[in-house]
Amino acid sequence: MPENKFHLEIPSDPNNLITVEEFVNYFSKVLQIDEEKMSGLMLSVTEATTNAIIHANKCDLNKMVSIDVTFENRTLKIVVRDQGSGFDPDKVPDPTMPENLLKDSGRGLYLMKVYMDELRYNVTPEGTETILILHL
Amino acid sequence: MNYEIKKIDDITIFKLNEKRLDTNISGLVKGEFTLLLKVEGVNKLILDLSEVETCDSSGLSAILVANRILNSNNGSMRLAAPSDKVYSLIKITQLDRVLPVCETVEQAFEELKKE
Repeated sequence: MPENKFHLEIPSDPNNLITVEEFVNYFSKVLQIDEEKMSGLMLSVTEATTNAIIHANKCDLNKMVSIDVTFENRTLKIVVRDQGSGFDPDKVPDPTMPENLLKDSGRGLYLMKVYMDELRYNVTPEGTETILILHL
Repeated sequence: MNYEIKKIDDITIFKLNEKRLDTNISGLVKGEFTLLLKVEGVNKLILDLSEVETCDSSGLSAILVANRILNSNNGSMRLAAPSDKVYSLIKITQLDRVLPVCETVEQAFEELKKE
């Protein structure tokens, strides 16, 4: 059976994003994801992890971020778990609206929505799961 | 962070010699822009992106910091020579509506010279 589950766990340090990129490169190669999808996938996973490290875990090195990837029925599911208290994605402004175009917030979430087929959040007592779905 | 600054007449060219404009350097880039534009009074800026392969939302935020300062000082900026990936990101986020992009530094220079 080819490998179809992948796992990474990192402390909440932005310097670990390079490890996340290597991880995405690794499982993309194993799963033979084409370059076009790979570039949006890389951006989405790093944006989700950046949010987890910086906004959720506040760069607290005692808090971990885990990434679980499963590939079944040509569907890639990536779950990024943080130890933060969650947020309401509906309150994040649309960065493409004229009044928000020059603002900093919301662009990472917007990019994940553009590049992924589905983006969900699951708030649990332990933290928040960002769930990215991509059909290959 | 690795970068070069070149000044020709009243135009300043900031060349970022990094492959990634992301969370790890975006804070430093913002700091450099603030220094250049607020303290040194630069008001015509070319951001040479020819060495940058990828960018994320925090990298775009750093560019927007420069744009905001320049707008408040009646200044202008041009993004020059972005990679296909970076240009695609700028278009997807619709920032091409507020950030003028040129294919080359020379083209950006000619445009700013006329302002």
